[in-house]
Amino acid sequence: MVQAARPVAGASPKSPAVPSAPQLAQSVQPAAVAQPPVAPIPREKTSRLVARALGLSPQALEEAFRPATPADLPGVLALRHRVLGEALSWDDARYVRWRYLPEAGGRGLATCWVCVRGEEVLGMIGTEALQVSAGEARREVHAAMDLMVRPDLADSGLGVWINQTVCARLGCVLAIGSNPNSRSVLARTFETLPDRRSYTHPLHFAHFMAKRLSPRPLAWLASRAADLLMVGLRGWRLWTPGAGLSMAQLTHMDDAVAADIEALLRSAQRPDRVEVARDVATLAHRLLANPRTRCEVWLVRHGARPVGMVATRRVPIEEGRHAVQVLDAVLDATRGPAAQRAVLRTLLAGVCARAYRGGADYLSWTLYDPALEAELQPLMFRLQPHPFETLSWVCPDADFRAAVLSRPGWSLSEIHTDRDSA
Amino acid sequence: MSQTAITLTEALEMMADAFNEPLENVRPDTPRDSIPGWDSMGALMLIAELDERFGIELTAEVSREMRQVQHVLDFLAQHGALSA
Repeated sequence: MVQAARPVAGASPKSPAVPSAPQLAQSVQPAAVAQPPVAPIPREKTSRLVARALGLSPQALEEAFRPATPADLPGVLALRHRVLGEALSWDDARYVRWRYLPEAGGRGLATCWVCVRGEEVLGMIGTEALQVSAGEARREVHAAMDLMVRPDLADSGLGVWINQTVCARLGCVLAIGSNPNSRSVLARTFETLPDRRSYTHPLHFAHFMAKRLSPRPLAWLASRAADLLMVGLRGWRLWTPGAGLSMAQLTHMDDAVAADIEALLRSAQRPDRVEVARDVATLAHRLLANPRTRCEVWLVRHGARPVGMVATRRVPIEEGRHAVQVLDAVLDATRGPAAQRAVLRTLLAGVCARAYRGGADYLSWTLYDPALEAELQPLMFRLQPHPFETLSWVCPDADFRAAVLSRPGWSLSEIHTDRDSA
Repeated sequence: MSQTAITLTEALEMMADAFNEPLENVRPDTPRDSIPGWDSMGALMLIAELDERFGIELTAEVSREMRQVQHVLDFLAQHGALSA
């Protein structure tokens, strides 16, 4: 899982050494290795070709791309309807307002950029401003998401141009995840970072056994035995007697809890990885007011002190089954490795027990943090290769880029993506 | 036209570059679905290459209708960009 250490691509010779912290895993972690874009196409050329395809001048195309206003909501929804189709499991108007275009006085998460021709929205992209730090180096990085282009403009290059233009206007842009269509756009316009990695932990074996054993009673017996064996193994590996930890669900983040969570978020900062700042208001909006999916948030305390937090959601899989996904996890990094390990195990024990009782097939967690990943393998989490858990970026700030690439992991999680539909 | 007609081999090489695909995977009968890089980015690269090299405008509409490598070769031939 952990790659061998290799030289940092493009890292500045004056990059400071990465300081150590009370880490869970004490092994030496490799720095990130970045791959430059493959044969990129200059934006000026894309602008000229796309403008020609749309019957606009390059200047008019440039002016047609701007942040959306509430007046653009009908056009944005019409575009999304043409791209996503009818069969959505969520209220898309509510979702777009929640993420991009809140009512007056409301809170949004991200900026929706639109490319318009008259009243018509031809394409859109979302960007969420993240405060990212790598040691002392800090800057705003924009996570790009929700890129959509009207289907009848496919092959015009508009999607590529939108990507390039948002990078040109915002500077540092991060693309978390990809799909078959966006993969080569990212490879040609973004610098490729190491992939995020997905792990799964089995909870129920009924489906697994039914596919492999017959007759059905034999499969049922085998799955029951495997379920119970796994319950026993979890009890053994995740049991943390005498750690003095308690875990409770958060259904809201009022002022009393907010102060605790703020303290936890401060103590979770680790100088050995790239930190993406979290704040209580954004977490509350992202996790507890999301119209596309219901999330659960759990807080672990040592006495009165908050020492860990985890957010999960239920993810439907085929044939009416479901899994539970870890959306985010925060651990107090100021405590020693043994204490951090106990918190992690307590969080996982609680989440696994609840997911098991709820009938989930497995628990999944996607992350890019070798120190934490090293803890998952002894806890019976299996690495599941996934072709689209990619991470890529454009970063014109050489010093910041070097500081980021000198670190082996990020505190990024699913909450920084737009993949939250049920 | 900016450049004289190219050979079949040169046309296949041009497509392999545009789609970022090994040349051996780009044959006249290769369907578009079999070339991962022949997506929106690959289509744009091909449009740009034809524009720059031959001064030919490949519209998005015509590009979307191209379902296999042979269709690109036919397009080149129609515009006198592919030598017999």
